[in-house]
Amino acid sequence: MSAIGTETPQRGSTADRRLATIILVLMALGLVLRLVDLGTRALHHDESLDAWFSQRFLDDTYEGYDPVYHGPLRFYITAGFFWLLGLSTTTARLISALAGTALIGLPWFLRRQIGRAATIAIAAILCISPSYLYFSRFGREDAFFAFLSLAFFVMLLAHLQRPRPALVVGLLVTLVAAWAVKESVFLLVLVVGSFLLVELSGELWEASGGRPVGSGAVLIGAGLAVLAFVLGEPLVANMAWWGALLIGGVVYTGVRARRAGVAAADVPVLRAVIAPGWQVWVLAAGIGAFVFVALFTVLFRTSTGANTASTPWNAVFDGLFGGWDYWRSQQDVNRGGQPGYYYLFVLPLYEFVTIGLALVGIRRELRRSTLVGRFALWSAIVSLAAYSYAGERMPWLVVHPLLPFVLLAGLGAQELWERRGELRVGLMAGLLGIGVVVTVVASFQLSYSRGEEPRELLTQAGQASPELAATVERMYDLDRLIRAELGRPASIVIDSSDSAAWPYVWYLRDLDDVAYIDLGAGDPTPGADVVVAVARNVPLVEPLLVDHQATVQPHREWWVPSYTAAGPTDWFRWFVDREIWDETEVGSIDETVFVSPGALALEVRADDLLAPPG
Amino acid sequence: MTLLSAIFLVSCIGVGVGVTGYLPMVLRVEERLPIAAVVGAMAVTSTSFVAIAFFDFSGGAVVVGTGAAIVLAAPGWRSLAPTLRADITDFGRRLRAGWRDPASPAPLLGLLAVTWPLTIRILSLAYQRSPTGGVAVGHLSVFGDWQAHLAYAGSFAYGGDLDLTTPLSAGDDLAYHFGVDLFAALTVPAGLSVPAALTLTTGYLAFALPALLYMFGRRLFERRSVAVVGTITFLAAGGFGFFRFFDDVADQGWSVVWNLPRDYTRDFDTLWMDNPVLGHLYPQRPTLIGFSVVLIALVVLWSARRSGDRASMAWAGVLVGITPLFHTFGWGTALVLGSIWALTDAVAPNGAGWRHWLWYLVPATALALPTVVWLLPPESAFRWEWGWVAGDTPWDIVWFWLWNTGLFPLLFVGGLVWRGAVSRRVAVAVAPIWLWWAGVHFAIPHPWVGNNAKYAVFWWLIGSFVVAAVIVEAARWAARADPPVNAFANAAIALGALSLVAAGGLDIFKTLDGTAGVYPATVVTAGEQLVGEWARAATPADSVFVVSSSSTSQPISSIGGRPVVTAFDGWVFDLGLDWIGRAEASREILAGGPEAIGLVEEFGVDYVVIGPNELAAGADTVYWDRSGTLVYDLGGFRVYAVEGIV
Repeated sequence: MSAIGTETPQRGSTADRRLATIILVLMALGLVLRLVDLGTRALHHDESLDAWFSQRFLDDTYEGYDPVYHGPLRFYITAGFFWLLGLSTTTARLISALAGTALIGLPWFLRRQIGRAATIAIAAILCISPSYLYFSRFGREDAFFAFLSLAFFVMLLAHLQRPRPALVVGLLVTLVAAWAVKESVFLLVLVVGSFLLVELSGELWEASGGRPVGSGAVLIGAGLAVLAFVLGEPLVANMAWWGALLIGGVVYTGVRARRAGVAAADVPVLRAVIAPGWQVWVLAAGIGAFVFVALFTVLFRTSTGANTASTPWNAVFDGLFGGWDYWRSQQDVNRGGQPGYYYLFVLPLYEFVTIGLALVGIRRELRRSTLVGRFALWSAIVSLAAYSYAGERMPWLVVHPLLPFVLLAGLGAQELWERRGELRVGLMAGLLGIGVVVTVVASFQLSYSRGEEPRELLTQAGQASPELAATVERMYDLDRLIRAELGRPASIVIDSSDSAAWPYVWYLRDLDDVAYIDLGAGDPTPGADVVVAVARNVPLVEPLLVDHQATVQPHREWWVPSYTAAGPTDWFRWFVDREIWDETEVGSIDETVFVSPGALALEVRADDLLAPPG
Repeated sequence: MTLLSAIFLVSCIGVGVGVTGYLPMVLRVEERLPIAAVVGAMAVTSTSFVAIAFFDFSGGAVVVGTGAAIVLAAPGWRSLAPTLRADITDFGRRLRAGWRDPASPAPLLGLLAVTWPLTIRILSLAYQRSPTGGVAVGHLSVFGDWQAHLAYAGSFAYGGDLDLTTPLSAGDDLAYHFGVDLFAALTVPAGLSVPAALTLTTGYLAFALPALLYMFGRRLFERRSVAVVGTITFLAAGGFGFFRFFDDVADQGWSVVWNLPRDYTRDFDTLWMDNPVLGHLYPQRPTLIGFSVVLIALVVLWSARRSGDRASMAWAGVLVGITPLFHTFGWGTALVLGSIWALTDAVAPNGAGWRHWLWYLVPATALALPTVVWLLPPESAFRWEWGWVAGDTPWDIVWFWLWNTGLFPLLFVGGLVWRGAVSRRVAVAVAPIWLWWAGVHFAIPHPWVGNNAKYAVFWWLIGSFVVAAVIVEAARWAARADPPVNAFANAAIALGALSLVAAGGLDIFKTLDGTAGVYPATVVTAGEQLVGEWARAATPADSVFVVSSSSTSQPISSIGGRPVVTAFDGWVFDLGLDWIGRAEASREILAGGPEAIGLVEEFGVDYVVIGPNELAAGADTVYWDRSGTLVYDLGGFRVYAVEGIV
């Protein structure tokens, strides 16, 4: 069970230096790709919320963790960027860009276990893949969480190989940081914890003289996990029997190993627990607890917490239990309306190169099992099952179940590299080359030109339209004009129905006279220079604004495809030019922007004046 | 920052690296890169200046200029190529060696880890949206001086100022070291606004300076600790003004820390030297290049004077020779101090002789001379005046410098005589900088007396490392002393060192806060912004405007990039131009009447702007409604075309 890899380049060797250079170049490229035009795409609904909470922390008005909006750590960090660089769409997304860049560098620490080709392949995929590039330019927590997840695994692997006190502290602090970023930490713990049980069983089995099991235990355990998730509710019961089987395996092999006189030091998982000593574990737990309390008490500023419906306890208990409680309560909501097989479509449609290479990697793992391979295989199956089971299936969550597939893809690339002389491999490499070109094109289109396009599967759910961003600019221009000419701020009314107040709340933060009102509840618009009403409220306000200029624009658009209704030809058409088979499936919340005659006249006057001569 | 502007700045560094390839001196990576950043910016600006003369100001001209600089730097790259990889490997090795290793760059990286974020924070506050829809600024530097720099940079970027006339006083020569503003303008075709261009290029140059300060300290004083302490001593320098902080605490309690009510290094009454960052580097952008050039040149000369290496001397000579375009004070300092070193070598019994110095002095003088002559104001304001603003008596002067710079002069003198702190060779080399200090007490070269601080600051710059050497050596002595002497000594040293940076530290802290005092303060109202944008978009580039000269915030030159008959009185006065005559002419034109017609013709006026400042200065809208053609009327501003009234 302890086979770990294929190459062990010497530290400081020429090969090592060359590899370091390649990884650094990929990181530099990744940084550029993430920073270029970072602020151009209109803000997604969730991005604007994250930015707003970060600003609140900066202004000392953030009240504490609320699982509805996920963990607070990225608010603190983004607030730091705001302080340092100012408030903007770019700085709101900076944490993702930097975490996504740092993520590219992490495979370096696995190079001795996975080989050089695998290291380069993983870094390259993390650099350029559509999912990682797009969500590294997206102001939510997912790129940051992916970074913490892989960092946790890198440290865990290092600790299993050579236990060190610093790694114990690092592991617990990283886990706490991940806890303070996103509730997906429960799935991370589930995946890693269950893997350690399976790995321990295998190690004990082999140490007690059993036949090498390779990936066998992983496949059986993961298969049972899939069964448990497919059976679904009651999840606790299904997780219980699955967990009991895993623990039973450990007990059985443990008894067997004990009878065989196996020393704990000969079993890597046990050694990793025992070697640091209990004092180190206590110290690490203390540090972890301190960091946890600091993060969930808004750096010791509140003990009561946010006091919302989803945080009924105090700050620490909210942090400990609030996330799980809320996550469980949302299981039936199925926000996003995506089916259970959502990731089985999205992953291959965007990440076909990664998935293709991962299949080669799985084949390699099944033949020559390694610790990294077992972990990646286990994580790929269990994560995919867990994320597919979870009630909320969203595009940005793709990066989490994809991560172990990226590791497997690296192993696949290593396999191809090692067998590069074979004709069959040459043909595969040719196909791979074509796939890479198509992937790069798709990735660039997604990140730089189609980031607001609802027909992209990764952009759905809450992405504001470019028209909305243009309207925001117009509002600022109008505010300046009205202030200059009339000495007062522009009066703006935004309809808060259908959550349409976001992302305006963040965008219009610098304007003084903005009201967010449910326009379905009456007439709150007299004297307003600009009124934005969502489609269903337009009939109510339109008669009151007959002299206004009215412009209809999409607030946000989405596409929830009927996956199984489309045939291969439909999917091919979508793949080639994003042509969809049923345009009626594109949904939107439209809004109408009403501009008062006075404001409009002022705007026209200014436009006439500012027009270049001739 | 746009991708193109980032590529431009990276190109500048690339050019700079190539230019350092002409320098035979062995440089470490952490020395080569900051030198390259500054030298590259100067090289690209110089070649682009020539390209603009041929092709007009445009993105194409910038590309040609940058390309020419790349071509000129290419042989340097070729000569560096064999060693560059080894240098990078060596940097990695030294970094891994641990910070105690004498060759470790860790102290420098630590220094940059502090200075760079502070720089970013200060610059991120430079321009903000004002609550009333205009532009607010985060510091006096931007409220005042940067408005003029906007005008200079804008006159290139938006006005294509090829005839080199000043936008602040239409028709007069651009007698100002405008290089750093032209450098900023070069980024405008890459998609930046002029304010963003000033901010970005200031950051670019400010990133390099701490590394150059560190290099200077390490090279001359041969101790990393001196390099670090010297850099901090200079950047956070201030005097005893921090005593006023205790008054403020006594008056308002400790919460005053979060809203510091005043500056502790400047009041233009008794405090004139200001903090080097906030009073020199931030507002006076040319200093970012001038200080850097002085440090680079002195390091190169220091190395070359030992070896007699002519190529290094010539390299430094060319660098200093093109410096007047960027900072005349820096050129003068490098040239005069170099000349003194040459003289020392010539007369010293065991000196290296003087002939190799010609390789430095000739290009440093000959290349500079045309620019220096061009920069001379039409009428010299030079005058002899004893005491400067310090006072008449020796005691006044002693008190002035103690108050403005704290213990600095005492420690500086102490360092020059304490052989344990500073070697005799270094002491002899840096001692002449006291001439800069002495000079300000009897010579006033500029119209405004306050400008003498621009000379004295070089004394602060060089002396900071001598003072640092004293602090470091004293600390070493204290570490060897027996208790309780060591405890008292350590406390005294810590207090002494703190006193050197307390006032400057408070002022920097106040700037970082961003909300202390009157800041952020509106510099341009919404109406001013609109009329400035209109001027840029809707009027020919060579149009001349009349505005009131009472405020730094007039938008025609700062936002529009168009020349005005006279901008803010203080600026024009400071340039040695006829500010009184022009201010009077502007007032008369605004007021209308028969005199206005002649003055309009005399100054080639195309447009008359009447806004709140002009109305306060007596502008007559009735006259101009009748006599001019109203071409703009928005946001409280009316602009009249005057064509045809003559």
